[in-house]
Amino acid sequence: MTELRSCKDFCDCLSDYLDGEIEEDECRLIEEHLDKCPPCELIFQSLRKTVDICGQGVSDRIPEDVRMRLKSFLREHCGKQ
Amino acid sequence: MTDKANEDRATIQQVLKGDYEAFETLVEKYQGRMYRHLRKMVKDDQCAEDLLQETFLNAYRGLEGFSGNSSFSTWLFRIATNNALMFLRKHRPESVQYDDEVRDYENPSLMTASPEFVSTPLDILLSEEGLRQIEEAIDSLPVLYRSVLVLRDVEGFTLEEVSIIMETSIPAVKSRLHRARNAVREILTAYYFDRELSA
Repeated sequence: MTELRSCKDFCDCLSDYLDGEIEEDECRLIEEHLDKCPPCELIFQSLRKTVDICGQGVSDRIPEDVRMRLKSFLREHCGKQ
Repeated sequence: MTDKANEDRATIQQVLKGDYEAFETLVEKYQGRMYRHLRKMVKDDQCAEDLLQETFLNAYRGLEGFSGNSSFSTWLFRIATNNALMFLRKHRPESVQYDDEVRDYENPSLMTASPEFVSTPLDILLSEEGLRQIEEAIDSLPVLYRSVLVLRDVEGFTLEEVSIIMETSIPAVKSRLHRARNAVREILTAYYFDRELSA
């Protein structure tokens, strides 16, 4: 990683930080920066919230008619009746 | 290997021995997630359904070639993603022109944040209106960014698995994910800021 100097440098690391992709020493630098920089802390909190709600926010419900047509299609094309 | 991956592997062995019902259990298990992923990629319910059928048919016919180097779900999502990208390149080539996407996302706006989004309770963020905002924010991303975000943050694949599914490098996945997450974050931030103002 390049040397962390500006708020932008720190914010550019936050996605990797959330994924646990940052080395321990650099994590400490980020955490120290977030502790003393409210705007970056706010960006971090909102990024974390975004990731959390994206994970819960898109349904994997499949409509019954789509499910039934898939089942019929596969039975027909896989040679099973 | 996880219990789930072992379970899939055992089911695949049953399918390869001619047990079609075992294949149907795999379909039952993954069809919801697969349909969600394809809908997010092509943003059209009918096309997503066609691609869903094609993907499972490809999987059934190619099951003997499943090497087991990755999990079955990674292998299956890779087939689906390839099918969707081929469809988009054929029917909507403008939607997958990588250079355009890079140009649009090369210089994202200065990062903004406001406390309204962060302080909004989860029951509002995940209300019917909240869910619509999340869906629209994700749908507004270019397909290669949208796909990476959905695979990582919605489907829960690791960065390495996303790189396998998307057939791209891990640094490229990280870069797209960073931009995609921040684009969604900024859209939601703006929405909840406006919502608070108009309350």
